Amino acid sequence: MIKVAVIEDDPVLLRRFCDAINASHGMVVVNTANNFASGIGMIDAGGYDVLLSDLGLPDGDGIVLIAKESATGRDTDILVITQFADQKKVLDSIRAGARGYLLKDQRIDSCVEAIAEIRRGGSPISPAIARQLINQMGVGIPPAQAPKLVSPLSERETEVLQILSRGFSYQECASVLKVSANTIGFHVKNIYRKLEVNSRAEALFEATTQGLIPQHGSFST
Amino acid sequence: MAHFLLKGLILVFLLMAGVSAVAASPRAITSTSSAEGPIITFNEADYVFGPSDALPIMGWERGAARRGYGFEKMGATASTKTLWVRMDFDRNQLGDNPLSVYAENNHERFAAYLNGKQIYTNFTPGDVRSLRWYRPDLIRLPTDALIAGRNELVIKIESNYDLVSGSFSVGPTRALERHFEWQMFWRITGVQTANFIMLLLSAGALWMWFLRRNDVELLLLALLGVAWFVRNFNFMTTEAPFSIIPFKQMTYYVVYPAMASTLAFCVAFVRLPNWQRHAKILFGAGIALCLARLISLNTPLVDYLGTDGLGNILAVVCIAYTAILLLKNWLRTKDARTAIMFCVLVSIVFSTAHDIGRLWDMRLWNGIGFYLQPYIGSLFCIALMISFGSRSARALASIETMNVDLAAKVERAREDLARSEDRRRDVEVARALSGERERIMREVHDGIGSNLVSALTIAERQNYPEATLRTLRRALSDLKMTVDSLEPMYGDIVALVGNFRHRVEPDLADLGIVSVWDAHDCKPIAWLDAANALHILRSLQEAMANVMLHSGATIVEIGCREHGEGDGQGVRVWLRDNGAGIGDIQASVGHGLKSIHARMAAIGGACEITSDKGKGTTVTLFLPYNRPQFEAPLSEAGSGPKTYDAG
Repeated sequence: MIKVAVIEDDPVLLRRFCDAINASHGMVVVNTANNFASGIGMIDAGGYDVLLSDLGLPDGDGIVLIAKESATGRDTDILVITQFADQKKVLDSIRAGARGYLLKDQRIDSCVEAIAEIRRGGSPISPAIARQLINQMGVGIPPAQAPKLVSPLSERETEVLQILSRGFSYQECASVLKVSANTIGFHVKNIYRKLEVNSRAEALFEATTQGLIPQHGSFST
Repeated sequence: MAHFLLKGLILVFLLMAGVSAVAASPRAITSTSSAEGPIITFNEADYVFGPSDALPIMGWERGAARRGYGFEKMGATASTKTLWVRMDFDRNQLGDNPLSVYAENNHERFAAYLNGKQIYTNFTPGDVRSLRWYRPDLIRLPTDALIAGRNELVIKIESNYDLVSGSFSVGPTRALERHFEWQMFWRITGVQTANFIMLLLSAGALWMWFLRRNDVELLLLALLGVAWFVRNFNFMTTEAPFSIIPFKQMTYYVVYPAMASTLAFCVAFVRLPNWQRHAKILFGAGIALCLARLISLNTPLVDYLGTDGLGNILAVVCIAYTAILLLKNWLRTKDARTAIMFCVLVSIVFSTAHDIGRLWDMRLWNGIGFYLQPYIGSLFCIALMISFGSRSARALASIETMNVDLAAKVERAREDLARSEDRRRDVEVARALSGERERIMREVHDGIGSNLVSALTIAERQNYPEATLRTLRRALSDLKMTVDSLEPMYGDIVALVGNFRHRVEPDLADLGIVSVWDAHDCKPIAWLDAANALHILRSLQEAMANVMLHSGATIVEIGCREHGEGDGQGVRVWLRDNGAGIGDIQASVGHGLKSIHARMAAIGGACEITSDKGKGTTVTLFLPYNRPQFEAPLSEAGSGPKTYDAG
């Protein structure tokens, strides 16, 4: 049974998410929060496998909640609930620790598929986000000018990203690379993880250079 | 070339010697007149070698004036050699004024006796280092020692090196004094002044070379200055600083290194192409000339050309060689420094030829009465000073201009900086505004979207009419397109169309329509900003709506590919379905298809719709890379992502 927690301020939508999840086989909503403050408490309490979080909460930023969940180190899959999956919000969420996104539209009921997918190990992506990732992960930039990444993309991941950024679906990408669609989702999830690691390393590097964190210790930045 | 020149020079000198030999079938004396009375110069004299302590009585031998005995030819011993010279003159022919004897070029020192009585000496007995040969002497004849009629003048010349009797003239003291002073100035005072100044400049050049090691000509100048000073020292001093023989030898031999460094300086100074090679050749020649002098001393050549004749002629050859190099360089570059150096060298050729002609063992001519060689080194210093002066004047002028220029540049840079700072501020403000505007737009869209979804959920649950649901869904879908158009795409049309396909895929899947993606690489479209992207997305949305709602298609192909060439190049984006087709396009073109045409016209693109009844419809958009007629107004009106991404 996949235990799901939801943070969403719109009661109508919250109910819709909960109904859809509870109606499915093998998933159950174990906790909900409708604002930032109660979201904090919910994360402290834990006890779920998947966290769905809205970003625009009346008393705070959902990104902070995502980062908080990610920092606990639990094996939780985080999905950000977004109205339109625009690049900036999705990428910010992934940097904070999210591994996918749910569209807040008439297809809310299909969130169940997305939850099942992410539990299987795959993440969704749009061509625009893939394109943005290519820019941010230094793909195609000559090595001399490329930023030093803690976790550079593998050759296969780069290939996947390039095909996806050109508008191909997972299935099409999979048939080009002669792998299964699940494998593509798995690659994307890994790319998201690397983006998060690099963002953290960047933040750590900046904090260190600005003297916020002492330089001794076991960090290898 | 050099060989020919050498032969020519020897021929000329031999010819001149012959002419002078013929011309000197002398009368015993030459008489010239002066304001105070006649001056006589002796062309003949009686000679005898003998002990230096007493006037010889016998053994006199008649001969031409100016007789010389080379040190090397005399067996090269350091012992004092004495030559007695006897001349006589008639007192009555020389007027009533006080009389003097003017003497010059006696190597090395002498004493004068009038009618058996010593009246003058220019050395202390026993002083073997005395150097008097170049210094003129004026001997005032005591009136009481003179007798009416014939007077006998005997000169005792002593030397520990070359032994040479010089010229003697007798005449009115006043007239000879003038001549003496003139000669004294040019032979001694001028040479001393020029050479000490040269030594000082050489020290300066050496110091400058230590500061600027790349300026080899400075080192060469110091070298030539010192070498010429050493060479000229025997002209200026009255006593050798050390033993006379090594001093004299040094004086003779140092002229070749002096010449070599001088000529090397010339080629270095004008920066002749390959000057290092020429400088090496010239230094090699300097060494070769020293050897040539050493070897030629024991050959018959010395009888024709004198002890230094061969070396001097070869030196002239070296100078001519350098002069030719300089001349060629000047013809090529018209460089002022080359011209100066060439003139200096030509004057050196003439002065060296002049000096060779009046050597004691050549005696081809007396020339201007003194040697020019002591001035050669100074000539280079003067040339260098002229060149240096003009260079530093130019440098100063250019520094002044540079300062003015720099001040102007600094001022310009300051203005540019101020302007760019203004621009930067403007851009920052614009970016902040644009970012803020975008943020607000997203929030607005998010808010509206959220509410629309809620409304749709409620409407669905409460079984609102289908028309209401459709309106709400369309509003939501429109909103999505607007948000997508705001995404930063960097002109990437493939990503824009790909994202569109990604958006519609779930809806197509619901309808059982398979979407085929046929994307090819395209260059970025520079004008693809948010406003233009929205037109394209809405056009695609219209076309897709026709596919989904009316066509009954099972497959829709979405694609983009580069099309056309040159200025007409652009990107074709198409939607091809396998549906029913429209049949008569003109009649049945709906509102949606019309709006696609309008949108494409608005952004400078084009639209083509083809349809065969029963075989499906293809809507093709053409987006040119360049659209000159559009740029100005649209790029100003452009807003959103393009401006946002500018920084």
